[in-house]
Amino acid sequence: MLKRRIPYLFLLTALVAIPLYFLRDKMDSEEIRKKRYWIGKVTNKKQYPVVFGGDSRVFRGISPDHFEAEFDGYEAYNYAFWSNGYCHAYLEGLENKLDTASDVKVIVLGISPHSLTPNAARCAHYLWETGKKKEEVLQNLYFSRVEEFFVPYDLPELAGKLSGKSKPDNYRITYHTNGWVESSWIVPDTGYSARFYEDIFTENKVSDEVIGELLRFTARWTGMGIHVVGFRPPTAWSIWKLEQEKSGFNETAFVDRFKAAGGIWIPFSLRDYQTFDGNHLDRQSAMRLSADLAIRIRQQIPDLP
Amino acid sequence: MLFNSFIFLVFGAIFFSLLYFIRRLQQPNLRWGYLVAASFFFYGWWDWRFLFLILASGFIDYFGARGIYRYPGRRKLFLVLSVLGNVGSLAVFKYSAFIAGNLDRLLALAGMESHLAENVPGFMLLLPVGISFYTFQSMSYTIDVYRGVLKPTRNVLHFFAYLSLFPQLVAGPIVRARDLMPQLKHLRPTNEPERWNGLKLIIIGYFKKVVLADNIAPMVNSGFANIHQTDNAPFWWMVMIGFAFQIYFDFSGYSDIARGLAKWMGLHFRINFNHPYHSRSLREFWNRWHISLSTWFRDYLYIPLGGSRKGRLNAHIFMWITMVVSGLWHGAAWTFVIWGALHAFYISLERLTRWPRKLSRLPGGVFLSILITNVLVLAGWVFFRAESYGDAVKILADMFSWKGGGDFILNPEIRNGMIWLGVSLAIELVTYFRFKPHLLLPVRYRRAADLLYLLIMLLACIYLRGEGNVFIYFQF
Repeated sequence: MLKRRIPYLFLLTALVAIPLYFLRDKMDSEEIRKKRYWIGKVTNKKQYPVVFGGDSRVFRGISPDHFEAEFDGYEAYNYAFWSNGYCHAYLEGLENKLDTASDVKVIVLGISPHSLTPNAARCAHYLWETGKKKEEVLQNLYFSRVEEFFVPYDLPELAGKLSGKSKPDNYRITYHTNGWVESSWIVPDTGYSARFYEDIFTENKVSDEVIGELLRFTARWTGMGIHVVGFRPPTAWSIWKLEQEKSGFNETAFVDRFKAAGGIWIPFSLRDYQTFDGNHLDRQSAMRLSADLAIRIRQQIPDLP
Repeated sequence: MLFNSFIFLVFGAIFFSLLYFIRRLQQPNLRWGYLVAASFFFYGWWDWRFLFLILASGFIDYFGARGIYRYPGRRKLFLVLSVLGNVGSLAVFKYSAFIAGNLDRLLALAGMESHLAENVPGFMLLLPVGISFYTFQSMSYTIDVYRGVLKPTRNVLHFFAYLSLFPQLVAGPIVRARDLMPQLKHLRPTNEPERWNGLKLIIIGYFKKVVLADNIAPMVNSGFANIHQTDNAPFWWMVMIGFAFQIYFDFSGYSDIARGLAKWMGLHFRINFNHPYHSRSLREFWNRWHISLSTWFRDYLYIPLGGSRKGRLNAHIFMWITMVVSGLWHGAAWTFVIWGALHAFYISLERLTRWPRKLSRLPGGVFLSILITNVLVLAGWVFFRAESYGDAVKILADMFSWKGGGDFILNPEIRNGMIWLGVSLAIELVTYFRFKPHLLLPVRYRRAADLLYLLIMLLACIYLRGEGNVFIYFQF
């Protein structure tokens, strides 16, 4: 039997790895799934009739499936990124994602005050993901499915699991290939974000230059026959208040300029949606917002096919 | 591509699968061509531009060696061209910024303004992976041909198979042509015990790198990222002992993987690390640490300078030159030069006082000499790891100040690092005392025990691996 030690070694390893994969908490492989999701987002060459842009409030807050269900099935894609801003490169990226041959052409922009700041307009995450090397793309896109079987533990975590003292992860997350990150906390804490959101606008106020770039693209797109819709993603009231006081964002003035550039603004009430951390909608609210957005867009653009 | 990457596992699986068939074809050119193509693919994965440099370096030495052999009257000229070519490429791609920066400072002292460092062209700052290794490997080929101990090959594929062989291309061991080229000529098939032993080396190498070195790394990196925020002596001893194990396991792990991969090809690479922290003297340390490099410097620098044949004073001088150049080989910075000089000082002191031999004769003297040797090596590692002379002096001063308590263990990175440091110390003690538990078992169970031991190591590599870090010696 032990003449063929090498195959036996790998067989025994598989006999441990496969059951362990199914017994483990899915959140153990969250890091791998997250990397695969982001690489998938930037390497997806398909174009869509409806494209969503923005930051984490959009990629957590908009479910394309629930949008499509109320939008006559026109395919939608969530192309938002972490702490994202409306920089030139990203706006071009949004345009490239749109299927301009479709009879429905809609770009939906989630406008958070932070997305209009100079820091956000560096588009650091977007540029980092789009600039990744081929090896990382291959690894995260294809090899990661095998890698999920072999997610490492760290010693304290392993000790906690073996002793039964570790608690399950509060954070539950599912990455969808349509760009939505379905998120929730088992125990929500809507005051969580406000604790570190205080400093986000220190020497980083909403910038007229960033707004100008966004509006130039808006005017360009509406001139090309593309419907450009804007909305402010709902948050907890504490975050909204913080943004009103510290960000330098004048929503009324922005909406006027946005409409003058040809955009369609859709307001949403904070009361109608819940967040899990103050900043990001939980899964139920995200699904509801997506459906509401589809219905409201149809009402605002009645001549859409 | 890194050994500890998924893409390498795929590359390795494809490479060895195809090698099985190619080996059977009995076509040397096909075998060598395959090895060269695979190795170039491996190397070019980092940056395809690096391939031009290794090709240029290789052709200089391939034709240089042929010239030495064919034109004995001009052999010195061909040797000089080869050495200049290799040292020149190192000077350009590794030391240009260092040379320029130091010239600027020198000229500034003479009252002249100079901005050479700012004007170094971008391509000269590339530092191609493995350049220090393959240039030395290539130079050893022409020098051995010059010395008449090796006949140059006429087959360029044979030569490049030797130079570019991927297991040892980017971080050694530096393999001598007279060892490897005859093996490459025949590339014999492997049997099961050889493949098993090769796999053992590979898994042990990965265990050292991804489990031990990579789990200690965050503790070390955390310490060096916050040098001026603490002067706690126990903390710095912990960090430096951590670095000593990190660099040892990182580098010896890579060498083990390289040796294991070579075994699967039917090739034998000599051992590159032989438990250096068991050394009772600095002389012994250099016989156990990065053996392929230290023997390279001995054979191609120290002995040609004169070695110990030109008197005791000259022997010290030649040793100092060798150690300082060795320090500079490791990095284009004065801290590496100081590291080399420090080891030269230690060795000079040993030669003059013979303290290890005298101490070993006393009761408990062997352990004391091991302890002292390791403390001296540790002091050297401070210069090796620190970003500047000032940082290194600060750390050493803190280490010997005996200030501070144990509150640093509240930091989870430090705590995790300490656990793995404990595991590392335990492993070194087990190997030092040559404790081999499987020998306690009846013979018929030893193969099963071997399999179980390797299974545990492999599972540890999978489930206890640290965050993937680049091998430290890639920067050389």
